[in-house]
Amino acid sequence: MKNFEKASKEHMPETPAVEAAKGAHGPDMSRRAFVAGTAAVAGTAAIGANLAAFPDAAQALAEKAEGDKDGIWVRTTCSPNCTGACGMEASIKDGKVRMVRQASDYPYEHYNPRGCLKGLSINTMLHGPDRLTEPLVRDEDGNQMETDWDTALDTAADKLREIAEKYGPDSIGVIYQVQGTGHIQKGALVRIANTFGWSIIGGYELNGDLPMFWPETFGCQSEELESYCWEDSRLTLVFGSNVMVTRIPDAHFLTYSQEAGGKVIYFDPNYSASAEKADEWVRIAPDSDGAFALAMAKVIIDEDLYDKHFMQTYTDSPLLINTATGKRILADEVAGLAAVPGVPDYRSSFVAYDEAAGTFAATTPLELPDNSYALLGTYDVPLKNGTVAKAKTGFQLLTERLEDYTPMAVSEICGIDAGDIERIAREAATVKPMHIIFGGGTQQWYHGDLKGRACALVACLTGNVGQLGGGISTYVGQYKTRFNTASWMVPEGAVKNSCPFHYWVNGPTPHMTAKYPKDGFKAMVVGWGNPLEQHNVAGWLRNALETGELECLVSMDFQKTLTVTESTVAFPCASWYEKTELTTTPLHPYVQLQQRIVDPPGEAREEIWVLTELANRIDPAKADLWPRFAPEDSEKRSDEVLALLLEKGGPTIDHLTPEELRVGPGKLAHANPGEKKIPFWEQVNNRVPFPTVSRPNPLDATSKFVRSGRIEFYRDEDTFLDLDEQLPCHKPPFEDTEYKDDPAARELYPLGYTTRNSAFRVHATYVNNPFMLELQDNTPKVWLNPQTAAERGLKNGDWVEVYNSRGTVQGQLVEDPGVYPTQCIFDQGWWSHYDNGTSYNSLIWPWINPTNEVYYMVSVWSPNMAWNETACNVRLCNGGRPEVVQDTGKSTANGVPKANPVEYGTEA
Amino acid sequence: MRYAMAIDLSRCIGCRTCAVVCKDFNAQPQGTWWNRVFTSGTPEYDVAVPVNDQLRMEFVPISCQHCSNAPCETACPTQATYTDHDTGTVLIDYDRCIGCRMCASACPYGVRQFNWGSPAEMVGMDGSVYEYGYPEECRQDGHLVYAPRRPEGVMEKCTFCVQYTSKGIEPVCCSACPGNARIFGDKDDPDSKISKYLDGKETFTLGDEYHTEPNVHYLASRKVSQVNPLGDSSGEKGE
Repeated sequence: MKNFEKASKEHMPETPAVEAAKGAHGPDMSRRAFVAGTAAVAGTAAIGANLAAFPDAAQALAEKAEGDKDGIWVRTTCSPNCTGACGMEASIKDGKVRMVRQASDYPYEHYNPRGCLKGLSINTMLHGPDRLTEPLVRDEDGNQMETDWDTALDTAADKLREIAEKYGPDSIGVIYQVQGTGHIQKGALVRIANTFGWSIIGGYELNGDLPMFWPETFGCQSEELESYCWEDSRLTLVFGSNVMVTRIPDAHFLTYSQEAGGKVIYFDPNYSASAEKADEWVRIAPDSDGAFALAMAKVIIDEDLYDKHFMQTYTDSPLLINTATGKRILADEVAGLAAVPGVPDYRSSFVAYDEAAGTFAATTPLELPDNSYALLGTYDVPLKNGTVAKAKTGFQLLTERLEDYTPMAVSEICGIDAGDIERIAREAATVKPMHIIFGGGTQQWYHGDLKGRACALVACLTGNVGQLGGGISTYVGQYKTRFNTASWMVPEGAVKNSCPFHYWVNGPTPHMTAKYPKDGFKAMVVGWGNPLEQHNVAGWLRNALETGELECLVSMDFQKTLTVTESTVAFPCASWYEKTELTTTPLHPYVQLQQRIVDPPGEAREEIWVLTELANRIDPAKADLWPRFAPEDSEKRSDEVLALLLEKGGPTIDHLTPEELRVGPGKLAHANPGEKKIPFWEQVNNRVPFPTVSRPNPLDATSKFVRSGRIEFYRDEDTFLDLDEQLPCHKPPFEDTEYKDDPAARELYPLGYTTRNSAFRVHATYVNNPFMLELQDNTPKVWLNPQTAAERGLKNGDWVEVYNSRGTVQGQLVEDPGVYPTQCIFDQGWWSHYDNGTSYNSLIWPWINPTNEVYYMVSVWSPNMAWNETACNVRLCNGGRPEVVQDTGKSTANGVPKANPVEYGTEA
Repeated sequence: MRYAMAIDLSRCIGCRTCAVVCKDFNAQPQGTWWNRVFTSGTPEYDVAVPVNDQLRMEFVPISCQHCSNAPCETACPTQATYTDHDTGTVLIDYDRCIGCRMCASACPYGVRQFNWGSPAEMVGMDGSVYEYGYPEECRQDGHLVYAPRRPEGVMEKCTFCVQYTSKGIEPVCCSACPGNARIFGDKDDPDSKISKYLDGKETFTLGDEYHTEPNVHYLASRKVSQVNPLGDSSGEKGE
C-alpha cells in the first residue's frame, strides 16, 4: 500500500538551486528534533539565507520552479496581530504564491499542523486588489495621490520634524502593533520612536489585552501555559475565552486533554463553538464570573479543601493588616522587630504572626521560605510609637469578605444554582492539575481586574500555580516579549516616552500617573494597524483627523485600509511573505522567521528600509544609529539585526542561530527541567520571590507591584482602599461607567454590546479575503436572542442598527437562542467600507478605572480598554439593507459578477 | 485497496480550514465549495440550535462521500463519473463530462457543483489577475481528473485530492485540519492510519437509507452537559 504522509513531507524537486535547501524540506527534516541548547542542524543552507545574499533570488527561485508541478515550497511564519505564529510554507509559481500549507515541522508533534483558514488563504490578499503598492501623499488641498519614495519620505520627515519642534517629540504617538509578532521590522518602529522621543501608545492596553489582575496579583505583565500544556490539565475552567474560534491552532490541545480523561468546563453567557466542545457549559450571567469564582473560593475554604502551605508560603495571606488604616504593617513599625536586612527600596519587610514561635515575625521579601505563620486571626500589635494596632491577617480579611459570596447569594448574581457552584468548586479543589483560562470576554470589562483577582485566588487556593498543566492563563493579545530586545529597539541616547491613548480621548485625569504630552497628540505614526477602524471610538479619531486636531497621520501597511487612505503619508510595505522578521508568541515555545518568499510588489518595501530613510531625513545627525542602505539590501540589513537580536537576546534565545531559524523553528530555553515551560516554577520550587520579569522592563521596575515578594490578594494603595477593592469583590457592570455617565442609559440602552472575534478575521486583517467573505455571505451580522429580537419587533434577516449615544453599526439580524437575552453580539473586524460606512467601534468608550492608574508602566500597569463595558440597543435600520459590497475579491469570470451569497451556508 | 476518510466530529471545531484549503488547492472558483462545514439545523454559522432540552452547535463537514455504490456514477450517461478500480475513489473525467448534471440530481449529498467555465482567477492589484490552486493537470489511466482551469461546463467535486493521493500524499483537508479530525488511508489495510484510528470506535455514515455505502466515516461528537442551558429567559433580564 501507499504510505500516506503529511503534505509537508513531499520531496523537493531535484534542481540545483534548491539542492542547498533540500535538508530543510525533505522528508528527513520534516520531523527534525532540535531542542533548546543543542547544536545547530549542520550543513543546511536554507533558501531564505540564499535570498538574503542575492536580492533577486526570489525571482530566480520562481524561474527555477517553472516546470515543477507543484511549484516550490518555502517556509515562513504567519504572524498578523495573532497569537498563532504558525509555520507556513507557500508554493510559488510565476513569482506569485498559489497555495499555502502548514509547515508542520514543529518538533513537538502535537503542534502539527499549525495554521488556520485565514493564513492558509493569504495568497488572495498578497496579490489582491487592496494591495498597497505605491507611496501615497496628501497635497495641500487634501487630495491623496500616488507619489515616489523620495517625495513621500521627505514629506513625512518634514511634517514630523515640524510637529516635534512645535509641540515636543512626545506629541507624536506611535502605534506599533505588538512586538512579539515582529522584532526586526516592527522593532524598527520602536527604535525610531526611542531615537526621537515619540510616545509609544501601548497596543496591549489600547486593545484591552492587558489583564490588570496580573500586575495587581502577581506583579508581572502576565504568565501563561503554552498551549501544549493544556493537554496535561485534568480540569480546565474556561472563563469567556472562545478558544475554538479565536485560538484555532491551539484548540485541539483542549480536545487532547479530554481524550486523556480531562474535563473542560466553559463559562460564557453565550453559546459558542467552545461551549459545544466543552464537557460542560455554564451559562453564566454577563460580567458575573468574579462572583462565581469568589463563591468557589468560599466553598473551598469552608470545606477545608485549600492548600494551606501554598497560601502561607507564596501569598500575602499571613501578612498583618492594620484594621484602622487598612495598610499592611511594616516590620520596622513594630516594637521589638526590624525589617530583615538587605531589603531594596522597591521591597518591604512586613509582619506575620509565627505560630510556632508564638511571636510576631518580620517577613522577608527576598525569598519564600517554609514558615509557620498564622493564616487566620486578629492580633494586637505593639508599635514602636507606643500604640497598639488592631491587626488581622490578609486571609482573615478575605474570609470575612467572602461571607458576602455564599453560593446562595452568588446564584442570584450569576443565574446558576448554588448546588452547581458548590459542585464545580469541589471539582476545582480536588482534580489536579486544574487550569483556568481567563479570557478576553471576561477580562475586557471595567471591573475585569476584580474578576481576574478572584479567579487567581481559586488557582492559588487549589495549589495549582507552578505545576505542569495547572494555574491560570490569559491569552489575550500577542503581547509577550520573550527575550531581551534592547540591543535593537533601544538605541544609544534613547528617549523613551509612552502614554495611553485613553488620555487623548478622556483628557488627563486627577489620578493620572502617565506622562501626557503638554499639547496632547498632534501626529500619529502607525505601523501594521488600522486605528480609524480598530480603535475604540474610531469615530472620535476620524473626527480628530478631520478637524485638524490630529495634524499628521503616517502609516505603513500592505493593504489599503481606511487608515492608509486617510493618511497624510502612507508607505507601501512588505507582507510576512516578503521580508525577514523574527517572531515569537506566548502560545508556543518556538522562535521563527518570516522569510522573503516572493518580492514585495510594485514599490512596496521592507519597513526597516522605510524607517532608516525616515530617521535620516528627519535628522541626518542620526546616521550613526541608522546606517543607510539601498532598498535591495534590506534583507542583508535585516539579517544583521537578526544576528544582533539573537546574540544579545539573553539566555532564553542566545543558543539559537540565524542559520537554524532559516531552516525552521528554534525552541526558547526555560528554567525548569522537562520539555514544557512551567510558569512560576522558579518561585514555587526555588523560592525566588515574585514577580517574574516583564520584558522589556528590568525586574526591579516591576517588583514594587508586589512589595512583599509574594502573590498579593490584598492591595493597600489608597485608591484600592477608597474603592473598597483592597480584596477581590464583585461589582456589577455599567454602574460605574454607562449609568454613572448618563442615568438614562439604563433605560435607553438595556443591552450589553459584545464585539467578539470571529473565525474569519484576525481583528480587521483578512476582512477582504474573498474566501472569508464568501463564508459570511459578504454580510456583517448582529446576533440577538429571539426573545430580545421579538421585543423589538425584529426578525431573522432584518437589516438592523445597533446604537447608543456615541455611535451606530449596522448588520443583518441573526436570531440565536444561544445569545444571552441581555446581550447583543457583533463580530468585530468589519471595515466600515463593508457596512454602509458604520463602525462598530463608534459605540465604545475608553473608560479609565482609577486602580489602573495607581502606577504607570506601558503595557504592564496602565489604563486598559474595556470593550464589553458598552451599553446599546437595537432597532430596524431606517435606510434598509444596503448593496452588498462587491468591489473587492472579485472573480474575473464573465457572468459571475459577484459572490453568490447563498452558495455557502445553505442546507445540503 | 479502498481509500477512505474518517471525520471525528468530537475533534471538529467547525473552523472551516478544510473547506478553505480544499478551495485553494483545488482551484475552485468563486461560489464553488467542494467541501463545506454545516451546523446541523441552521444555514447560519455561529448559531446555537435547540436540540431536545439543550443548545447545540454540531458541526458536520460534508464533501463527496466516495460511495462504493455511487448513484452519480449510475446516473452518468457518458461514464465520465467512474470509480477508480485501484482505490475506490469516485472521479470525474472532465474530457467525458457533457455537463448534463444528471449526477447532481442523483447525489443525495448535494456535493456536486457545476462549473460553467469560471476559472479560479481573481482580480488582483493594479489591474492584474491572480490564480490559485494546484497548477498542473492530473490524469489517471488517461482520464482528466483534475485541471486548474476546468473545461467549460463540467461537473466537479472532491477527488480525495487525486493529484496528491496519486503521489502518496494525504488530501489537503486531512493534512491541514488544525484539530487532526480528518484521517485518511486504506481501509482494507489493518495497519493503515485510518484503520488504526477507527479500531474499536463506533462510526456512522450519512444517508444510509440511500444504500450508497459511503467511504467517508463519521465519529459522533461527545455530549455537552449544560448548566442552565435554556431556563426561563424572562427571569434573566436583571442586569
